[in-house]
Amino acid sequence: MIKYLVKRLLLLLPTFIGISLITYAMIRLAPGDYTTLRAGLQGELKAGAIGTEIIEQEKKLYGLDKPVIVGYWDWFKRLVVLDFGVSRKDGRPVAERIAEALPITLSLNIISMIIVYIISIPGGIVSALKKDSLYDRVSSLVLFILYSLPSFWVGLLLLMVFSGGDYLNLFPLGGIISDWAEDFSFFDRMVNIAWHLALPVITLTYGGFAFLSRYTRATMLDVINQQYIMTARAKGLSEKRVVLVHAFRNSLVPLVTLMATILPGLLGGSVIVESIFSIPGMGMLAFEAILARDIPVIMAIASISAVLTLLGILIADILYGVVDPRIRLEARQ
Amino acid sequence: MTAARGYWRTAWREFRRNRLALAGLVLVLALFAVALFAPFIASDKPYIYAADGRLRFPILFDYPELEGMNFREGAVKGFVLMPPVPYTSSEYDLDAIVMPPSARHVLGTDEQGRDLAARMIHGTRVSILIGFIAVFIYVTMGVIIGALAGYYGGVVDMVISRFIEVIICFPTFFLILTILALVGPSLVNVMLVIGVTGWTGIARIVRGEFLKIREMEFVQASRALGARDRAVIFRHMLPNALAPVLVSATFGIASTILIESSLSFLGFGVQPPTPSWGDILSQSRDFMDFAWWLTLVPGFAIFITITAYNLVGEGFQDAIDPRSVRK
Amino acid sequence: MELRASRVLCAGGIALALALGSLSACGDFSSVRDPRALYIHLGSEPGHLNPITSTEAVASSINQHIYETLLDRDYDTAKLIPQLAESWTISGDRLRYRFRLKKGILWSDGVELTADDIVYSFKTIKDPNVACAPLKVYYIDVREVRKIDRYTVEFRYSKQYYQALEICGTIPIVPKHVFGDGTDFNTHKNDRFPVGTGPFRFERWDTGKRIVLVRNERYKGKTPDLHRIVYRIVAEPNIALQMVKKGELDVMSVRAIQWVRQTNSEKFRQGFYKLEYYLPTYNYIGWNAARPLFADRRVRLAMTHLVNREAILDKLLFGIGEIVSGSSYLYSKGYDKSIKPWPYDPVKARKLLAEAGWRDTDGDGILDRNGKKFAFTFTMPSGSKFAERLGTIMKEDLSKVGIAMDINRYEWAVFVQKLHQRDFDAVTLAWSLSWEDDPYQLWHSTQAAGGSNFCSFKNAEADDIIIRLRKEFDERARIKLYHRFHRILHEEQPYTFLYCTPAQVVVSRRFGGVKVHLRGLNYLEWKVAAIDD
Repeated sequence: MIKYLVKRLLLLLPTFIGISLITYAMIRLAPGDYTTLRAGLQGELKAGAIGTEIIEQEKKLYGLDKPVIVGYWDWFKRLVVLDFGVSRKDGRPVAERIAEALPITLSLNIISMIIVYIISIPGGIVSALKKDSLYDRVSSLVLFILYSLPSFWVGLLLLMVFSGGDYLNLFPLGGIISDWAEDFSFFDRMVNIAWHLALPVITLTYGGFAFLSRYTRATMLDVINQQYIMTARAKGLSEKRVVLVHAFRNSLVPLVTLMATILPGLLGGSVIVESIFSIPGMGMLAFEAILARDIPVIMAIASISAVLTLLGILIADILYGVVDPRIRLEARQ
Repeated sequence: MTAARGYWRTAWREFRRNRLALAGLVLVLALFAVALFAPFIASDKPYIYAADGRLRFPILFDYPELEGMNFREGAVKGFVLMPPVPYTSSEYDLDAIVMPPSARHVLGTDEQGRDLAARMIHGTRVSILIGFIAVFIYVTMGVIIGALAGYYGGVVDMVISRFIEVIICFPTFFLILTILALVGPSLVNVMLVIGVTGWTGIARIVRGEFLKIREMEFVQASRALGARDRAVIFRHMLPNALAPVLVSATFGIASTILIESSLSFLGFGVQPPTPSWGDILSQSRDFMDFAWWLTLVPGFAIFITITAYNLVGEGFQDAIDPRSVRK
Repeated sequence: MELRASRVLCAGGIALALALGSLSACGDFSSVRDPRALYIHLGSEPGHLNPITSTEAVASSINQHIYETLLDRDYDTAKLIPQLAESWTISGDRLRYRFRLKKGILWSDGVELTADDIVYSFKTIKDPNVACAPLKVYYIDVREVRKIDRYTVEFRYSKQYYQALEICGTIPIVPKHVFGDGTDFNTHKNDRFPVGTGPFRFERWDTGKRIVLVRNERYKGKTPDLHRIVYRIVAEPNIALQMVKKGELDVMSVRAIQWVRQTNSEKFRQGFYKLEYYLPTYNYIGWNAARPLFADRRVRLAMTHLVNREAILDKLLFGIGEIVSGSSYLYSKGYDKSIKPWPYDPVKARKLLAEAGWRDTDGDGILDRNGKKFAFTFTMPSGSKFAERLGTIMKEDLSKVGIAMDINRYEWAVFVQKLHQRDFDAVTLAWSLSWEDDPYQLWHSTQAAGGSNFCSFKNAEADDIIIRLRKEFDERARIKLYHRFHRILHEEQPYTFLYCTPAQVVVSRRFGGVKVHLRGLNYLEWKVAAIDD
């Protein structure tokens, strides 16, 4: 086991280099760069040939005249000392910008994910146990309807109905904390933040129920029909015990797999939800950075999420062994 | 060969017995039919036009003398048989912008006065195509790659897993945006990009299932009996790992349509004026407070699609599952 | 039974208490807002507020209250008037511009503004290590800025230019004692903590939420009635409008659809002014004359005749805006009102196309000439709803006369690159001009190679007018040249000029003295209505 772990950890480095190199090459090769973009149509284009010279000068200032591989090496050298560089947009250290956005996105996503899991997994299990019952049918119908609604529409609708003031005035119109709540006590601040996050969390979660509960249902059904479950039943174990201990545990494998792939999404944030609810999170940060070709920001986000995802996958792989001892991680001879 | 035919025949017999699944299949086929025959369901040209002692079929053939003629609402003399939706997806009417459903426009009009029913019908092509092809690409890729990793394990698994990790680490949505910036947002590109970026989830699921299944008796047995790897993987192991894959795939089709809608919302969808459900949905944002039909109609279409695919997926799963209890 | 009932009651009481508690923690905006503060909607957040390195429109809209320049433009006439300078003189050869500063003007940190600050600002702009390419190009012809004495500076031009006074007078000025501390200018800490001389000074910035300015006590001019200006960042315009309605925003630029459909209720009109004013902008369709298809004037003219500008204005833009026929600002003297835009006329368009040799010879419904079909791609930036609608309508209309048009919508970065490389057939875009714009960059034939004449408009007479215009200091003569130039553009149709659309702003009636000037709104003159609490 330890040998396996060490091997996996060592393998993280080349994987990471692969990811960051591809990302870097992609942004550099994409048409457009920050300077040209900013200069856009106002100055540079208006001033002709001399302007082009000035543009080249500025590109040089940010190392954009160097070949991709050299540019990547420069970036990597700084990364080794954990220097993510400076954002082109506002001249602040990238680390500072991420430190502002990450906690917001993380908390929003973790809350949403917990809610989705808490509701979907039991829902899916019940659906599987009562396959083809009224509950199974109705719940899947409702979930499909929810799934079919696009989040920007739901988000806007929620805000108009619950916060607009035309109908109801229960929630704030976006943001994460009231302007005047800065000097509140800790508890009141939390209440204030929760009040702000209610609608965005709903918008982030309602669509997730369908997939996860159908998924749980499918894997549960799969397991319930397995021989050992029948054996367990035949042995006269209580149905509760059969379901919770034997069946559920076995259906965990695909769920664990799913968790690992959800991780990058956790950090990613949703551009649409963030823009509708005026939440300054990672989604907007990354989206704007990509559109503006703000290379240091893109690279930092890509590498942070890459590292966390890689770790997430590793943990999931280890968990496989825990939830299902039959899985052997070592090579088979 | 014969054995395989027998297997699928049994599966089909099982499938047919499931009435709900059958209904789903009919719905799916209906959607495909709408997509296939869209130009014949929504068009401004009549099926039959009988005038001046001549019978014409403007929808099938070009008649230069009929160029630019409006056949709607008895504007021409003679017998006219129009398609159910007598509009094309692109003809606009600036005097009928954002009109609610009425006798003239059964499902209302959009922000340029285009007939929503016509756009939905032509949009079926785009949305069904995007959903189906993208998901087909990624399910195929995911199953094959995941199966190889899970079955062979060892070095193969190590290499494939690292490769999967590299792809997973790019948040899909941003990967799509970046690639679209590189290659330009056309229908084909949107399809390919969603397909090529989406397979990792399925690959991990299949790999996980295979890791589990390959230690089971029946796999060991068939290997001991000298079955070839390909047969073991596809005949014996895959059906056992298919349940979660099918759920992923059925949802994938709907979620692809929704991704396309998000891309439209952000301005990266298919090029205008190509009609797609996602594009229609994203238009609705400016008219939220009154134009309910711009959301509900495409929303309902997506709902039908996802429900239909799900029913088929589940029916299929029951049918091929060697263990499912046969009544 | 009783016990259970009381337990339920008790639980209900706790829930109620919690709900009340949470409400008190959340509160209502109107009860906590500062009545003397003006809340303005900001659709996107600026990166920083350094007037030299920033290029964003949002940043300059904030900076105009923090920083001042030597000269300003009068709100009603748009003429240059003194701001930091009390007077100026221009040398006989019009190469030297000398400004005399007002004495005793203080930066908001208490240090006096002197000629050194202006010299420093100019040197900074010229510094190759400072990332301000868009600004640099305006100062290419300024050889040096010299300090004459503590309160006098002189700008020296290398050649005559009729807009030199404006360019010198509006140079962004930053405090030398703050920015000249030896740290990197591009990432200076005061980029996000500006120090200026204007009526407001910077107070705080909550990233992603708001930027707050407070009245500058050291400001020598007329003290504004507003105590604070709070810019609130709300990306989604539908939400911003809801915030306006709830009283959380006082000022918002609304979109046409909102103006027409969502701000007309009796209640809204009682609470808000709806103000409109025209700024010097216009949008257009540019035809790439470097492509054989649009090299012919008759084809470009035919295209203009095929764009139904009246109907599109009426229906898609709700009739808000004016159709323009030339490049100058619609309400400036340089715009020749006698030139009427070409009408929508498909018949005439067909005739022009036939004259140019485009006929449908093979009967496939698409025009052709020498075996080549009339097909082109319409390039537009993504994010412009109007461009999409325009393109869709054009595609449909053009197909009726036998022209095949495709639409290609690109992300802004890619779009700009396409323009650079002249890689397009037709394009739609908008220009923002200055009050009296120099046509050189857009229309001179030399700018077809690398400048912004990317439609490759080349006309000898126009070139001559443009060059004469740059050295013509007599206004009447200049207007004549502008009018002649306007006529040439009208005849040549390098663009199909579309519309000048107004800025549409809603403002809370909490404020008095709200007036619409030529240049728009001036917050400094607004009065806070009597506070009744």
